[in-house]
Amino acid sequence: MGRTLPSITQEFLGEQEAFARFRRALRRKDQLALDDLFAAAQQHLAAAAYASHALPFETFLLAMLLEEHKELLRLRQVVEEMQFATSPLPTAEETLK
Amino acid sequence: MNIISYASPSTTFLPDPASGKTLAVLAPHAGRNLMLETAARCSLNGPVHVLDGGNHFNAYLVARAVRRHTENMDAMLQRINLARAFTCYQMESLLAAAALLARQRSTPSPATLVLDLLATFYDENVQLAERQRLLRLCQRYFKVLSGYGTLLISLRPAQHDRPDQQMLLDDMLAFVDDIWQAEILTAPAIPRLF
Amino acid sequence: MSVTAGIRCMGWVLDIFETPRQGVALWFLTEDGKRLRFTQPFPVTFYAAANPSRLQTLRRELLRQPLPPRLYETRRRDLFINAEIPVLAIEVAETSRQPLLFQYISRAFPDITFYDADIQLSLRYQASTGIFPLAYCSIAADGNGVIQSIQALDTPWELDPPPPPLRILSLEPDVPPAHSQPRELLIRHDKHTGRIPLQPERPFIINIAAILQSYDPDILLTNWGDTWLIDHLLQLSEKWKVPLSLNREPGHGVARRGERVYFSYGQVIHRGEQIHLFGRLHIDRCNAMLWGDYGLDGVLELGRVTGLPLQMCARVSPGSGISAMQMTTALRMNVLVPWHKQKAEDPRSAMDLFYGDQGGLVYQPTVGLHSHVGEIDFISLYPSVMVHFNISPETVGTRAPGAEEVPELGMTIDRSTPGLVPLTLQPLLRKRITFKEQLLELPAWDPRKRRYQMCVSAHKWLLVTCFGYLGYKNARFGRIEAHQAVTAYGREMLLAAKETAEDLGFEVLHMYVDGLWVKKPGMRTVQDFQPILDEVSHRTGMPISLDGVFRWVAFLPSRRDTRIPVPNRYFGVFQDGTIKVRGIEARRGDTPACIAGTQMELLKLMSAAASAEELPTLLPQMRTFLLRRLALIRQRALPIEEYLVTMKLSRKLSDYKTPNTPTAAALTQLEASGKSLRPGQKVRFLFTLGEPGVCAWDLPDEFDPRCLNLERYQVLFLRAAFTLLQPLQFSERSMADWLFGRERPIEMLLPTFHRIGQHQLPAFCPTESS
Repeated sequence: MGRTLPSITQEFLGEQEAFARFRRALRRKDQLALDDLFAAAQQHLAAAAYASHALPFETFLLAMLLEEHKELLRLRQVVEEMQFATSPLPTAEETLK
Repeated sequence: MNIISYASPSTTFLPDPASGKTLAVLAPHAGRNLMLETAARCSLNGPVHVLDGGNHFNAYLVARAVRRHTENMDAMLQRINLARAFTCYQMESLLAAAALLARQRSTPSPATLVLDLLATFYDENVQLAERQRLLRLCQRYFKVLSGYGTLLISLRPAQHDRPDQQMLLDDMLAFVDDIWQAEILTAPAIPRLF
Repeated sequence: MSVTAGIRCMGWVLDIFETPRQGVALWFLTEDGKRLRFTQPFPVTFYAAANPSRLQTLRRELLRQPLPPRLYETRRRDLFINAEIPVLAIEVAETSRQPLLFQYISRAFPDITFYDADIQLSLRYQASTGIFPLAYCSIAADGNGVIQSIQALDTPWELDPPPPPLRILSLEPDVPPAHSQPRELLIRHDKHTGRIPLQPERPFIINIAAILQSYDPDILLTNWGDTWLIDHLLQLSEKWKVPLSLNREPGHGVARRGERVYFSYGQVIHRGEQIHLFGRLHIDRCNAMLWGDYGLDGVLELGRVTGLPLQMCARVSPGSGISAMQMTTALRMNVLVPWHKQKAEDPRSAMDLFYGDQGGLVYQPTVGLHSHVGEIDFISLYPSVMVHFNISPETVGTRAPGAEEVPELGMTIDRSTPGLVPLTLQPLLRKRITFKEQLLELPAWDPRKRRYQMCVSAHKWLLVTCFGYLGYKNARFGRIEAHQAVTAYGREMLLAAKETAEDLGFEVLHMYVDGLWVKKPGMRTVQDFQPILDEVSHRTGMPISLDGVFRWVAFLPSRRDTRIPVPNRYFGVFQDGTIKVRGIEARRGDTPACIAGTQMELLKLMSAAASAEELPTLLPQMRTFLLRRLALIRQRALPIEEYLVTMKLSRKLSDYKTPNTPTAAALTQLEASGKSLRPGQKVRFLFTLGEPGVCAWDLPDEFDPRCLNLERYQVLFLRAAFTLLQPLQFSERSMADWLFGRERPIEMLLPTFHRIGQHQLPAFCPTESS
């Protein structure tokens, strides 16, 4: 017996399609950034399916945020490592204090 | 039998529950989206019983439709009861159970929406005489159900090369009190230069 | 051979079928090599339920029949009502008359519900006697060959049943008859092999008749027997008046079953017409289901475990096998087998659909190359769930005391009394797991190994379909709620496994319905992964196994957009050197052999790397190999068959919307030459220069290899190579530059995948400019 509810992937593609006009009117570089956001949401389709929300777009938005935050954490780490690398190493005396 | 067109979905075309009338929508894809919109609107007024013969109940669409009208979406969706039939035998058994329940119920009956009634009956793997027999039984249950509350049935046109489907469809068209022939609803075309 | 004196013997059951006035006919292989025919009276009972007045009318009609059946009232259990109901039993003394009688009364009384009405005779016989196809048994019969007693001495669950001494005659035309007229027949039996020319006809047919007569095979194993050979033999036999004893059963013609086209798991399947024999089995390799997967050993195993006649087993879908097993269980449990399933799903709220109407969890993997990755699989997850949680049509949604909640679905399940579906599956599942354990332990030279492997493949298909069958609309014992309960538990099991892995410090790279891919620094050997297996199995109660530890595995992104991971596109190498690929060109049926071969050979080269880090050191060899292969392909140095593209037809020619697709164009050419193909059949063609760009194979004219469109094949070639090289940080452009020596430094950084910045890449430029 065929499924009645569209799969989460179909639903996701439908939601993405619903913003086609929005996307068309964006500048090219903004279009690519928007695509990144949707690609980010697509990484979490299994979790979105399991969540079983009646309006899954809310879950997709959260998934976009999630990936944004991961990226932020990654960049923060990079920045911290760079700061650590450029700051002068403590002298032996300072360490011993 | 009058054929009426409608332009935008609303529940105004539904008969007065007290009238005992059986209403059908005849449209390509058995008016799928219209029926789902109608189910959503009916849920605002009370319980709805949906019998789905065509695997049509895209609950995401219904949820969005409900959400457009109310913030109380979950409660409205809880009011919609759904059962699906995948063969004409199952459709007959679903309707028999619904009719029995309507007779036993002391509270007002819910609105009953039958989605794509004939989808399972158009299946050639069951002999035509058998399908006709089952459809006659279904009509008996429709009589019962329409006496207790709103009843709306959606039908899809027969395929051109299938006289058996046409016979079943004609049978249903002769049975119902009113037919709404749906206009094909498409998004308004936006003129483009290129 | 007929039996003249009373007999008592041991042996194997080959074939059971109804025979007029004698009940069933049973063909038997005795231990001392005789082929005997026995008969046994075998009354058949079916049941009717309706209101008393309708049943009274039915009684009167039945008693008016020339040979009135015995009628009595009784109570039997209806699984869907989950209670005993009063029924009228209709016992037909003469076995072969039951189908006709049922056909007649079901038309006359369409409103009456019938049960046990259309069950395969071999299943009824098995339910009442315990005898199944190829059962080893002892038999006692009188002087007329009428069975006095028959007793099975083994069960379908025996791992090493006494092997029946089957005589197999194999007949193979030299070329596919659909392609061109065969010229000779390859004949094999025991250790003899020979070729007989099909022309001249008379000596040919005399020869075949003589071989049949003298060798007297139990199994006639053919290629294209159903669709061509048997008919051809029958025509020649008629034309030249040469009697041909295809059947052993005297006075019987061959039985034909019509060709069928149907949908299964999203695919169109085509089965040609079938030709069945009596007292001897005809199996057409080319019309047998999944022959390539499990061969004759698998077919024989299917017969033993499903109870379906072997000729049927070879050709039906595994779904029918599961259905048969459930019916036998039902007959044994005195549960009524409905003729039409009428039970529809119980109404539930629209909200419940969001939770219930879902499949297994399919994740997007962490794209890129990974070293030392363990692949952990639940063993037959869905069947195990059905058995462990007792999922069956009658156990879900019950209000039985002690029933427990199914996670998420808002319905209950009764786990106290074993249900029909779990009862049917349990021994099969146990047998499969035992076989799998044995396969791991047996040394490579052990002769049992091959047969076990075939049995495991056959079981796999039965178990795969048993889940789908729970949700199939025409399944006798299907029910959507049960189907949904299985996937709900399946999702819980997978999540429990994920949580366990993470609790133990593993990183979960990917999850796919019943398997997960995990890694943890320092974990490299099979033993390293044992604790996680034990813990998952402890927490879920499900059998789980380590499919293997990958030296390295690459999860690929979508072909269209490299930012998007796809669930089932990966390749990798296990520690023992075994290569595993999914979703890449080499696995696709429509990839020409020369391309698929290139990809697999390249992967074999790459498999030498002990970890992802070592892969780049192999690049020079990979380049040499690719250039050599491409040269061969471009020089047309490979057999022309290697260039063939094979496409399965999903529709009729008239239903193709664009007539210019390669498949539609090839089909048009075939139809113009008078050959027609149906949906589900395969069309083969070559890419050629000019319009329409393809040339159908199987056309009468000889193909000129100079017409091959080599540029098109080069595009396919580069695409297949790119699939494997992409994880090494190549773009399509940089790979082409590297391959054709266009100078450009290649950054051989090891995979650090960035989410942003890998946008749509330019497509290949198919010209070979360097």
